[in-house]
Amino acid sequence: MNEPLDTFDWSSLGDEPLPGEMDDEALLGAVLGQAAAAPQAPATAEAGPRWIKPAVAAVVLLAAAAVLVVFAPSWTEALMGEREDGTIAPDVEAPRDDDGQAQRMHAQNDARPTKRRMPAVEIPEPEPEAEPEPEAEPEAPSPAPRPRPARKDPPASADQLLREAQDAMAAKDTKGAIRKYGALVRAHPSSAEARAARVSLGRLELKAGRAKKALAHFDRYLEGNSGRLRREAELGRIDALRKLGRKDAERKAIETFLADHPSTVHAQRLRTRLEALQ
Amino acid sequence: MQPGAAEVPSIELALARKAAEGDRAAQATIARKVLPRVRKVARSLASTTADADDAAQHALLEVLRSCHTYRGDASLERWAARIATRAALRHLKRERKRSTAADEGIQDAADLRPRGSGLAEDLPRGLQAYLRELPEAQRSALVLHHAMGYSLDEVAQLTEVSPNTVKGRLRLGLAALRKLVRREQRIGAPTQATEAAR
Repeated sequence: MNEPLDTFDWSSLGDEPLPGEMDDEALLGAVLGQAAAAPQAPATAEAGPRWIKPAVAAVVLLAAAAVLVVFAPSWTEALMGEREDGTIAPDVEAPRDDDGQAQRMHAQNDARPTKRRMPAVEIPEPEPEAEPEPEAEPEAPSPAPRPRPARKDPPASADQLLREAQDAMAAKDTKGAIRKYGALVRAHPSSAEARAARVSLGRLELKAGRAKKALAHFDRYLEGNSGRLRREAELGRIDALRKLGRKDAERKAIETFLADHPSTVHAQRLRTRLEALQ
Repeated sequence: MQPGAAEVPSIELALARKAAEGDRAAQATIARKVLPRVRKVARSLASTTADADDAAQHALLEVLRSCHTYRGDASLERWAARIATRAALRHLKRERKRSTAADEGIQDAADLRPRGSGLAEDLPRGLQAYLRELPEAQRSALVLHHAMGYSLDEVAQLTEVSPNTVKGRLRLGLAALRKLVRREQRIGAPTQATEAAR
């Protein structure tokens, strides 16, 4: 048998764009925007020897230690005295910010009514929407033990269906991919493959203009409250809400996303959208 | 330095200096020039699209911030690839710590990978699909060494472990990869059977 690893083309790894990745121009725009906003590169970093900063830090630390040694006993004495008097309690609380901070926090709490990362209140209610009937059902029925007419083949495994869906995706057969992903979530609704397929299905439905179906898939994925595709699902959900014109829910979703991922490459675009929504 | 080799780096050196001084046009030129390498690095190391996008962003920003350190010893792309690799690894490590999920990484990742990348003719899946099934440390070591061409010492530096640890990760990673590939060759890919039936 040939060594299988020799047949791989290691050098082409990472050459192909990933499904749904940000396009080059948008990425460049985001990066150059941040580079322009950021303070200038430390041009002075090479001006002096590298030991200067640690040396200055050491001197400052030594000075602070000396001050502490000299004055600490008198401070302790004073503090203890006040405690015994009971007139002044040592301020152990973190200093309170101004009212503006409190208002901001209230505003944030209002925007995020629960402590869950994605607010449950945003699960799409069944609105009448004229959409073509998709082949994949977002609400996957549990496998009913209904007697069926004689089955010819054993049911395909979750892994097999996932691969077939991936093949269809690779062949740019969107309908086929939706059919396979749909079969996967129907046949193996509680499998990890089916859960991951929700995000792909959401994307495909979004691309096909069926925003409501897409939203339902993203929400189903996010119900799990974990998962490595969480960010993809959250971004897809924001797009779906925008397409559905659900501005309030979209604003909340963007705020939550930005709070969780403040430095994401999508931040600039989302902040602009947020301004437009407000 | 070889004769003639000084000319190209001197142009790139001047460009990097301008970028370090805040010249927007120079920054844009450098960003555009190194973007393909940066994206390749990010896609190879990340396991999801969002991770790859964010890793590319952080890596590209790091390249622009580091322009003042470019000395023209290597091509701008090569220099940038190294900085980008370090930045992407750092970013992904941070993201992993933040992530609450460790339960469904394999399927999630496999689902978002393009099938054709690194695909060998007699194998049902692309290299990336197999790599995603390996533990993170082994995968990074394999990608850095075999795909990006870093030496053992360089991989050790980039991943902040000893060269011996890198050797171990490469050995285990290759063994796991070989096992996965052989298993699929033996069993046969479902997709091949399906295609043959069409």
